[in-house]
Amino acid sequence: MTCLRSSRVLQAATLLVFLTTAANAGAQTCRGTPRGGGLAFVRGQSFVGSTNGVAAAVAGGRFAIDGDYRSLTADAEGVSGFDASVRFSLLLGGNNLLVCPSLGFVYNSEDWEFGDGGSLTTRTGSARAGLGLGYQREVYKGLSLIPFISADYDFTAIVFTLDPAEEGDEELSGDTLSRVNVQYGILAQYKFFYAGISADRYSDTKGDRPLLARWMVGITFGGSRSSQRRASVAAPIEGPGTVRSPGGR
Amino acid sequence: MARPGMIKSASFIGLFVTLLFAVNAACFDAFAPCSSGLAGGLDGSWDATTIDGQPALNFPLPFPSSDLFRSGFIRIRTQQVHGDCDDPDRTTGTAVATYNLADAGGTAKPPKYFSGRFDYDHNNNTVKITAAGYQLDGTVSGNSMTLPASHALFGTYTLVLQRN
Repeated sequence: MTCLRSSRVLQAATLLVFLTTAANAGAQTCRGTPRGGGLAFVRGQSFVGSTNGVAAAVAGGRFAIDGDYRSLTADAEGVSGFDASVRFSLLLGGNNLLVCPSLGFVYNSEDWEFGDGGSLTTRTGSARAGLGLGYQREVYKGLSLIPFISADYDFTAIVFTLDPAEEGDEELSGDTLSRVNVQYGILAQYKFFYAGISADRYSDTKGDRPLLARWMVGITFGGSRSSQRRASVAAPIEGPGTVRSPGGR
Repeated sequence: MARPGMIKSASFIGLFVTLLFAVNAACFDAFAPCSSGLAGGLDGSWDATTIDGQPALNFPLPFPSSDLFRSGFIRIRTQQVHGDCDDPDRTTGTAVATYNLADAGGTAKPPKYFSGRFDYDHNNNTVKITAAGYQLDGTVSGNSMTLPASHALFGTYTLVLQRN
């Protein structure tokens, strides 16, 4: 057990070193973090409950990768789960405006315990392809604002796994959904620190309110003032959740 | 020399904070998903009370089955709310149906389970339940739900459920 835990710590440390090293190679990242990528604490909120986790993004040349992991703290009793995502982006554009075609995958798992010993696990996977826009503007010395918006086509597959209290005949099913996810938000970056908010809504979302909102606080991997002046930028971290999710979720 | 810089910095901070408040006020809804405490949702357990207008208990299922219906219920949990949180347009989420049958001699059969999704239109009081390849289009009135159901084995019937 101890050995296993040490191994995981080592893997995490190796990944962190890799991310930091890659980011320092003059990278710039789209969708979610300021130029140069970053590492952030992310808190999300949806109808199901709140999520807490981390998000990271790095880039090299014209390519970027970002991802996140968030654990669900549900408002309803007996509900737990998590979200994870990964996305690859191509970085186009120059000075302040960045355009990012992307491909990604979002995974959500949610357990619902009925209280009689039975439970239902809902696993949701979404393949995602779309376009993001990010604009960075230095509004004061070292302080930049970064509004962003993205639209992604989502193909979502849902699989249910039932663990009933009493054995019986289960007619389990999957389901598929196709929709567009729109994510928008704004980041404020001051030197190596940034904070921001983003929200997600699907094409079938009605009303003003989004299905998911996220707040993030983090550090950039390449956020010095001089590098910012050379820079362009960026956009939000991650996808739905709930599906976030499905999602979102 | 430092004074103009301080005034400038203080002015900027004041302006930025004001801007944040303004943006927050203007965009509150756009960054605020509905949270728990939904009014008018379907969350909970719904028990089958009648089939084709007859009591559900021991109801003989239509030909070709010779089974008797003993009990059944649908568990529903909302996962997404669309529209106004106090008066939503639509809610979606997960539904799990359980029903218990007995054979013609009265011997209980293993329970049957269906897992799927629901989509509830609050404006028209219609609900769509999709599970295991089946789609049920029903209506909701207060604590009563009516589901016209069609099953390959049990034929077509109308199920009325009451919120438990």
